[in-house]
Amino acid sequence: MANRVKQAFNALSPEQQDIVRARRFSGARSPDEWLALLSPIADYDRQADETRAGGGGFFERRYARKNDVPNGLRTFAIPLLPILREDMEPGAPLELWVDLTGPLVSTKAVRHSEPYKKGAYRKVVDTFYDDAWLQVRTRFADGAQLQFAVIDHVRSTFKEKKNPRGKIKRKTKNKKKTEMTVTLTVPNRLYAPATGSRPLPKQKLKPSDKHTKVTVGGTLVAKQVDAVPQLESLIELISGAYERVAPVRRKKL
Amino acid sequence: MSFALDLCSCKRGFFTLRDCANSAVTSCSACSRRICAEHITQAGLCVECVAKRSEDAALDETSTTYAIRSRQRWYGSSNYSPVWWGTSDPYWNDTDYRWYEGNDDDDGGGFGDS
Repeated sequence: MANRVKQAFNALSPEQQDIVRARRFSGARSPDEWLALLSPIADYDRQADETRAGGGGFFERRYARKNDVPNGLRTFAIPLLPILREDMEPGAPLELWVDLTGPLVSTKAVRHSEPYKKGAYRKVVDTFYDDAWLQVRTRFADGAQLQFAVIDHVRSTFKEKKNPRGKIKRKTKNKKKTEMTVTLTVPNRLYAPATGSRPLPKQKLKPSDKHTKVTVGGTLVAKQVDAVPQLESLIELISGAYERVAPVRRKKL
Repeated sequence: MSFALDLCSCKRGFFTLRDCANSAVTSCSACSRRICAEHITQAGLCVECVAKRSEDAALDETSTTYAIRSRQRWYGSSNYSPVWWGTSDPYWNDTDYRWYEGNDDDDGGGFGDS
């Protein structure tokens, strides 16, 4: 019986196969070009996920597991593209930095705690990871510059204890928070600072001669390490940034 | 003699709204507005009418229809008022958008900073 997941993978272009293998990519393209590149990968990932959930034979499931694409691409990054495209200046590039290799890699570790004791555990070490897995920058039709980042902060706690029979037991627990930061820089010829906006956890308004820079952000506690935040959380932040300014003239863009 | 451009009546944008610059090719069978090829669905309705009616089945899910449907849902669920940079259109009367209400210029737009 043919391995349908492998067939779907082989149907991808060499560039798309490289993205699935490396789980990271970056560049500046139009949203339509990004969609043309990434949508077949999303289709492949959907099929592979269905197979992994029990929809195929042993070899199909194994292939799907080994060539998996983390769901952040399919459920967060790709659905965002048509939304950003609506507001983008025609011809402006969409700069994307995507890193789906996961937070628990040594290069993303930012800090280790000193070993300490806690209860029955004779050795506990906390390692903190910062994983900026999605960064986007583009220019909107109203002259605004939009920049945002989605960063996973993971605390990985390693614990070691000796049970009454003298056997050493080790376990690791991971907890994740996802931070989103949005920076919207709008031209003063069209916008001025405004009041009456929705409350957001973090907010900063920095006016200058020609532009007003609005920075908003927030942090979400994830239930699992591989959980992907809701796209609405990011849309709410960008909306909140736009609510912090108001138009100062009438103009047809 | 005046030249009236037959442009699409749909609005582009998600966080701000502006006129679509595409030429109209047909009319929406529901709202009768002139619509471009990108904003018309196979059912003969414009994407904005389909999104308003939540007729998902009528949407041939392109990236444009997905974005307009998401926009309609976001405006309905989040109390977000988009910034209006387009031509006035009674079709949008039921949407609480934000625009400059002073006496500043309406320059007809499109050609640089003015």
